[in-house]
Amino acid sequence: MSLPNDAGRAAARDRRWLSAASLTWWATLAVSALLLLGAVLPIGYAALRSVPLYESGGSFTLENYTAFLSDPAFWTALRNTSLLAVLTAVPSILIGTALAVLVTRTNMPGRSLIGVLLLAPLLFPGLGATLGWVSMYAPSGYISTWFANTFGGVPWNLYSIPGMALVSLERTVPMVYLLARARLSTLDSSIEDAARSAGAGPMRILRTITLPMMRPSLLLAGVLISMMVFESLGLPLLLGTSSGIETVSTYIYNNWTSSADNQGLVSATASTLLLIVTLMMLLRSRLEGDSKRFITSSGKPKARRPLQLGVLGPLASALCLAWVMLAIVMPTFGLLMTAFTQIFSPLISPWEVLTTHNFSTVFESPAFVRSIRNSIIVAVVGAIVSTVALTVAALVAHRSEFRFRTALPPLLLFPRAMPGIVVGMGLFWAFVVVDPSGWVRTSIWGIMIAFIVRNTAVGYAAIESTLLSISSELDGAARTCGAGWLRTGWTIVIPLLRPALGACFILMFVALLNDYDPAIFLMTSGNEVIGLTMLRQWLAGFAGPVAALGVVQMLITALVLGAGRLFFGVKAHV
Amino acid sequence: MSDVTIRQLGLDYGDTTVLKDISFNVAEGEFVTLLGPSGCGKTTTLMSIAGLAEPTRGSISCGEVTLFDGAKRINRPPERRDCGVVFQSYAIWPHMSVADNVAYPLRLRRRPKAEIAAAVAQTLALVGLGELAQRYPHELSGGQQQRVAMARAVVYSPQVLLLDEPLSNLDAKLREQARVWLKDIQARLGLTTIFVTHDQDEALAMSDRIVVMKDGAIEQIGAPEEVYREPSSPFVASFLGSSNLIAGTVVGASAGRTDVRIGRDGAVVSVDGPVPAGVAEVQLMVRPEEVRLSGQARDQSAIPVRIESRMFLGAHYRYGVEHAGISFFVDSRDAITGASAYAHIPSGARVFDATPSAPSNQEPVHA
Repeated sequence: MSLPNDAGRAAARDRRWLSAASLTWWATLAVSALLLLGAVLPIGYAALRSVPLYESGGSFTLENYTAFLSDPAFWTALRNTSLLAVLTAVPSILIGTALAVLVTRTNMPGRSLIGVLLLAPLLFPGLGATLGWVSMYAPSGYISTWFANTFGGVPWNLYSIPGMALVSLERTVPMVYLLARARLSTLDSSIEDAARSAGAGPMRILRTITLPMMRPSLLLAGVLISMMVFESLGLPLLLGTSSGIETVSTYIYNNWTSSADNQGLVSATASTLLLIVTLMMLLRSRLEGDSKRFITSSGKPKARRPLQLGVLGPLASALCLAWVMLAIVMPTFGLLMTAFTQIFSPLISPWEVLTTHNFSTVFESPAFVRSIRNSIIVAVVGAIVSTVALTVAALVAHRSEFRFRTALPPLLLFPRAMPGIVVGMGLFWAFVVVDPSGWVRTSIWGIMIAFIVRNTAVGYAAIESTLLSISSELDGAARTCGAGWLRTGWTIVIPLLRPALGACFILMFVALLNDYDPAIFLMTSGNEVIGLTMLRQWLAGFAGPVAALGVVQMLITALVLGAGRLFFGVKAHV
Repeated sequence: MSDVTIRQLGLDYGDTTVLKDISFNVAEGEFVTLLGPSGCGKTTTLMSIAGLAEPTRGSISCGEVTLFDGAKRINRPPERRDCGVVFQSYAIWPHMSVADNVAYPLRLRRRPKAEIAAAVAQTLALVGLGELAQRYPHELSGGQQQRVAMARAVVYSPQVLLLDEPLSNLDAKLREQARVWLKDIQARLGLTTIFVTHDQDEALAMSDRIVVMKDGAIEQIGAPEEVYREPSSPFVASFLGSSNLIAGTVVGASAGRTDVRIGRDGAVVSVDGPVPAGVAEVQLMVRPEEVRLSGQARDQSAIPVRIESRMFLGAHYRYGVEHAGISFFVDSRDAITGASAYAHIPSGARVFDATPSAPSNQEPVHA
């Protein structure tokens, strides 16, 4: 029987915990809102001011908007971006869906190996893979040169809009493949059996049953790809500049770098880009909600009976392997050869020009070494900070009595709709206003904040999905036993979340290590990061050191993901 | 431990009302069961007492302490309510051993180490798990997990014990043993207990009193025998045990007795108890085991029936019989052959108003 004395002490302790808990709730909301609004509001404000934020004076004006809206170059850029989005989305969806169906729903020979190989590009985010494509398929690339020498001409040109779309496939096809595969795994194969017993052949089943059931996820993939294309800066900058092709994001970048007088116009354009991508994200949420209509699950999953391809099987395998070879193996090989040779061309045997010169260039240059060190610091510290912060945020959002808890998930997931350059520019203005000394803006910590804001959705999704699968009765039990909110979180929920926290750390590490575009407006001498150094060097024409940096980046990423897989069962995709 | 009083407790979820201003109280040391079909609000009521659901209005108090009061905006957090809760899923923390699970509430209360060890050992012995203290939850069977949950809920001698369908995840045989065991522990500790279930047998076997709930409202409160024998509505009658609801019309009433004609043109039976004036259409409630079935008419109250079906249920037969177009069930130990027989409906059968336009045709006409 509890002593009154004891109960009184417990009550006093609980009151203290209670206030500490509500303090945590308010702080979480405040920090999340501050970081998000810090990235968005300054752009809107700068777009409406007649002079840059760091200058005094000026007045409110719409001139910045009329300036870019009356600029024919902007409309060309918008047209280019839209065309690029369509040219990327359509083939990605066709190839990705075909691959997913072949791997998961048929008896194609070698399907499990192909299934693994298809996801390899997700292990190597960043510019390295793009460089690999260029080294092989650009007009002076290895395969292009060989093709031209053999057949007398090359039917493709990487420095064009279709060419950029081609390189984008490297990232978008695995994405469609994953979405389609996830969709297929929730489809009960008995709906196909039902069609079969009604007399339909395999091809007819695919056309009339399977593909229509996948429609929502394919539409979703289309929207996601369009978002990626509108956000993407590195690819159009590297491939489009030489032939004068601008997209919306390179239009912003070029205006920013060409003249200091364009800052109002740049902010106005960036706010418009943010609006476009936000609208796409709203469409995406609508589609995700809509896809529930198509759920067919009916109790326990049944053993799947794959569609029999018959004689077409080996042909399908050959096509899949050709894709793996041309789109994954060749570019990776190209990146390695560019890093390890003086010149990579079919005209010279690569074995005669093998060198470690590119790596010594990298490791002897203080700027390169600094960028590697900075990137690792940003990735390690940023991953720790964001894992801690996102854990608290997820607990507040899903496991507290906080009145405004439902406001948190949208705040944390919205940044995935924010193009990297928009985040970077917004925080640039925010730092200018909040910290006139410029210390944060020019340190690696400013870049770290920008990278974290841009990537919160990645880590948050990893924690949230696990948290939602932990029964709330487990923390309810601790609460009724007498534990306050903080103690329940610390002793019950966080220990149960441990694998998800590992996953969050690994995924954030990889994202922060490879990210670059939010840093464009923040980078000065001293706070370089790998991705941005690669972009700058490449634009300046030094492919060898860029490839060497790409290999370093790829090695660290593979190492960390491998460790994550080993210790936490983390997959490179969530 | 203390008594629990619930007054006018209401809970709205958006536009739907989950609890419709219910009131009841649980005396010190009493075992009260909330019984009802799923979605009737019984678990919501329990979680409101525990502090894990927030009611919209009304009040909950435990002894002298107000746990919740909508009007005074009092809502104690769950950790300050001193309730022991056993959840339907047991909610055993998988990262802690059995002993750590049970010691957790005591550690929160900063009891001395030796005292904690002694209390944990004593409680685990009480639930019969003394040997398994160092095991982890995944190494335990469902029945053992349920015992751990029970030990964790009672180890700190809470004011009230709240049980949310703790037996529903056990298989039938284990459930019957657990029923006896649970009731025994509750009686030994003398804990004020509120038990939620949708299983009528559990409710009848274990409770001091039963609160029958339907659609967020209380249908009837009473001792098991009372609720079973004198259900206040056709719903309670059919939810607890099996019962026949036989449609009929009132043809006469005198001296507290009512004559009811079965169906449109059937025989007239006379039952105890009055009906309000003006009530014509009624339902007679009678349990299958209360009706006697025989080959010959024994007295005037016997009504001729046609036998439609016969099922052997072990202890007895269940006959489906028909009279004047109305079908009902009769239990009998006798094997009756032939297509017709006589049914004797006892005069203790209850009469419910079944007037179609009545605002609620569930109102009892006598209580």
